[in-house]
Amino acid sequence: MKKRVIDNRQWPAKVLAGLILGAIFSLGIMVLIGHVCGSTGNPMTQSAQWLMWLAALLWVICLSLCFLFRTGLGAWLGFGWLACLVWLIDTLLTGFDAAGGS
Amino acid sequence: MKLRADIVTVYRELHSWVGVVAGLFLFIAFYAGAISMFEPALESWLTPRVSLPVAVSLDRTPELAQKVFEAFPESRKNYTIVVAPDADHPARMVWPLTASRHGHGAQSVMMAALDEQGGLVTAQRKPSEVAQLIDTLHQQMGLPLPHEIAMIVMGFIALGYALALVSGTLVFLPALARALFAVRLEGSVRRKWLDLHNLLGFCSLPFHIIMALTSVVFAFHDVIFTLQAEFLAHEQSDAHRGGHAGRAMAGMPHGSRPPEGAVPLSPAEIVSRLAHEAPGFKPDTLDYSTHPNGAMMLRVAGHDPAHLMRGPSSGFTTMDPYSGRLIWRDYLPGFQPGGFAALTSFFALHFGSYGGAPIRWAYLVLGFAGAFLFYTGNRLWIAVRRRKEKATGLETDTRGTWFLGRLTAGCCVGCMAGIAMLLDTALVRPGWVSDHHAMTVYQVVFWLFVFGAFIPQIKERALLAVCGVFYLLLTVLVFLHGGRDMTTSWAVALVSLALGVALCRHALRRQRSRAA
Repeated sequence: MKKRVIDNRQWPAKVLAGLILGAIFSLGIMVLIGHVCGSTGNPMTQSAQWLMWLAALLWVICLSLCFLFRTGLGAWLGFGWLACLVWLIDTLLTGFDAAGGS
Repeated sequence: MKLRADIVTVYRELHSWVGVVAGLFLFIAFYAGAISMFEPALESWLTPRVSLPVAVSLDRTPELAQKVFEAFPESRKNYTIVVAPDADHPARMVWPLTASRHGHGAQSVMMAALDEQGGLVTAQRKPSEVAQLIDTLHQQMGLPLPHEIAMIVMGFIALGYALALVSGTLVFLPALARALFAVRLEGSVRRKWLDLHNLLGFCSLPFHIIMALTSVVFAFHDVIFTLQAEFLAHEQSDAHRGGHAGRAMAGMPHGSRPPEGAVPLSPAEIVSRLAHEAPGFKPDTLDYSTHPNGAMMLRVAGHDPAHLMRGPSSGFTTMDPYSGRLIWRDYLPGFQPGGFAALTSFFALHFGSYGGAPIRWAYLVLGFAGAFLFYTGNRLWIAVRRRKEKATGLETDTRGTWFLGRLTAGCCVGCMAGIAMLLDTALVRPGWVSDHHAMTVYQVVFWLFVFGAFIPQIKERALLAVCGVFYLLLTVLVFLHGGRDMTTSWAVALVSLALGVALCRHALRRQRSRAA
């Protein structure tokens, strides 16, 4: 079987996926972990600061990895479903929190 | 370590293009950043000293403060007690005349002292803007844009920088063991630049990883914190949801409103409480301000050379001004909880705010080396393109190669020359530079060099030589005009002499290599 190789032909689509969806995914993970740890989002607290650094680091990682997708569409789909999944869990958690709190 | 050939190719192309786009901005950021390691020293050195009576003792500070409050009631809201006044900061008590941005930057202050008869003497201190401008050039990568916009642009360039680091490391890894110290200065130009670039890049990799991640954070932290508060803050007041500045002040722990008639402790008592509570921490300033709820807040800025510090030159704590109790020690060097100490290390590694002067000098060298790394990167790109173009039979450079070659020379030499001319002018015409002309001086020189680089009759060696002369001129001017602090004068003179000689030598060598 012939091995499929990657190249930079569709770089604009891949970069945009890494920048936009990568940011949405990273922020989603940040909010997810924030929910689990009970962070309040007050920037003077340790948890909020660690989460902020985590989001920045994840974003850089997403941007570095987006070129490994074979096509631009692949990058959008790959990061897209990850971002949707993370934010779906976030929304569910917020819902549970609200239901539990009321 | 073996990577798939197509992956290496993808990242090699990426490294070239991202490096070339971000490299010129990063050159400015690193060059100005290296100099801004000595921002406080430069600011004091360039600011005319104000003569005031000898500062009152710490014990007599309440008497001074009372007289200031009577004469300047607005000072009560926000004033600072200097714990150890010196020749550059001769007053015991100062209060700001202009608003500062998060406590950064040169701020005009009013200083107060008592004469021999106990009468109030005040004087204004208007710090030189030059050191602050060099820091701004560093933060904004020389972009002449409003600060907020420039920071976002800078953030995307910093992301490119991070990407260039990741891709560069991946590309270089396979050849790491056999090629690291093989610097072939003889032979092809391309190979010389490649070897220098690899060696510099690999040796300063940890430094660059820290710089890349911290600069991404510096650019985007406001946005990320706002989103965090939006999604995580369920039980917070509106104050926490506002802009970052508002949140930071509101989020800072502060004392509650004191009972009627309570008297705050005197600065001398505060300092002695602090020495007891936090031995090793040397307070520099006691900053008193009023919280929106009316309570008096006391933030102490100080240093401890044995520990990492959160700010560029200090760590912080807040105290209850009435009881002297330490309310908040998350940014207090040596007394931080483990997690905060780890976070502080990221900031300290960016600012070089640990280990005192030797680390600052080391950062100066690393900063210059970083700038040189980006310069070698661009030269390498040009050399590779020239080789490819020659192989196809072209006699002269294509437009792209010519453009990048000229732009690299113009930007790098222009930035160095702009800063040199800024310091030259600050020494000859200090008053003129301080009247908001500092940025104009820099930008005029920078753009003259950039445009000059595109004039075919002007060779790169001429730009290098002129820039070198600016630095040699600075050395001379330091001895003619500078002299408020001999240590700083000598440091500036030696660094500018070294840069001037290096630039002129480089210019001469290029001339010889062309002639040969």
